[in-house]
Amino acid sequence: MSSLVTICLFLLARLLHSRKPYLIFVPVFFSVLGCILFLKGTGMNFTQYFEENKVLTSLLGPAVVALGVLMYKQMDAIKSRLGPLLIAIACGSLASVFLVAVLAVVLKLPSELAASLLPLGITTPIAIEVSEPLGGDPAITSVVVIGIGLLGNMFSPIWLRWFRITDVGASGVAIGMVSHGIGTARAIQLHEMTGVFSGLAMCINGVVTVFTAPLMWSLFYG
Amino acid sequence: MWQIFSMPDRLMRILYNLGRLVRGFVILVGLYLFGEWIAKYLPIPVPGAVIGMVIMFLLLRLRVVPLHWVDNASVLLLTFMGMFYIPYGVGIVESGTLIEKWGLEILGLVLLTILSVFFVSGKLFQNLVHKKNIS
Repeated sequence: MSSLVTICLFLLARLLHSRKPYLIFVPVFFSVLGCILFLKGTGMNFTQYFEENKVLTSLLGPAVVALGVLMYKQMDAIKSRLGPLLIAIACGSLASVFLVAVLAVVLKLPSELAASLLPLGITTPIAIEVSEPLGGDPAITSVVVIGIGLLGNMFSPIWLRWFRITDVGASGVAIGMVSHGIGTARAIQLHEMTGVFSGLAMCINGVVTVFTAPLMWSLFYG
Repeated sequence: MWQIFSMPDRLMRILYNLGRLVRGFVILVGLYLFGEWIAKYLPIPVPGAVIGMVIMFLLLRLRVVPLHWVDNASVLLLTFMGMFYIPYGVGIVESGTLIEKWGLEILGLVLLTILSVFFVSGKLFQNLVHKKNIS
């Protein structure tokens, strides 16, 4: 039954956000907050809530497959930008794992935590596979990755303005590089091409980081 | 009078669109499950959904599946994509002790990293595309 709460909150937030585009009304953020309050209020535990919401999470896989349809529709735009896309993703992935490794050393984080944080920019299923062999905790990895996704979903339009990223494709690359699927869900709302490039950046970054993360790990902790 | 006769027409139209939607869903879900199955045999951790996505693209590209078979189902799913992530987002309440203990450090590290990567990848792509168009 609690899946109805999730759906109603999301639809309500969409309506509110289309009328008044305040940050608090960003649909995913608003619904997550509402559901957390709902759990606190009714005393339902998370496991039960998650079980009842499998209807929604099971649609995530087909939605990602649907990104393939979007890519086909934007095929020409992708083709003419393939070089810049791969360069931007490779540099972004290296910058990400390098920064995490350096900051983890500077902040003297325990190595279990550092390993858990290393793949923080990529989609959860890959991130877990990357952090676990390095001694990371999958639970920490998924909480951080999803938290970043929520941040990206909420703030990416603001960040785009800060950094003067105006190109619709570049906006997608930036969003997909840090906030993977949850950010891509927002990118699709901004522009079809932003959604496509966000989805592409998410997928390619995920695969590239499978190689860059262990490499950086061996440099800093090997 | 003609309205009465057009009723079956409208009903047919709704059923037709519903049928198209169902066909699209069946294809998307099928490819997702197929991708999950392939993922089990791959040496690197690629999610089944991403493999399904690549296959979807290839099927459209090779004209095995025409676009109109999957178009409206995929638009519908992508419009509500954010909703499917909500249960995972709610899962943040379950964060462990290690996160609470190092909360401030993690927050600093995360913000610095994601803003840098956001800037570097977005700007780099924008400038490379721009340069290519000028020359």
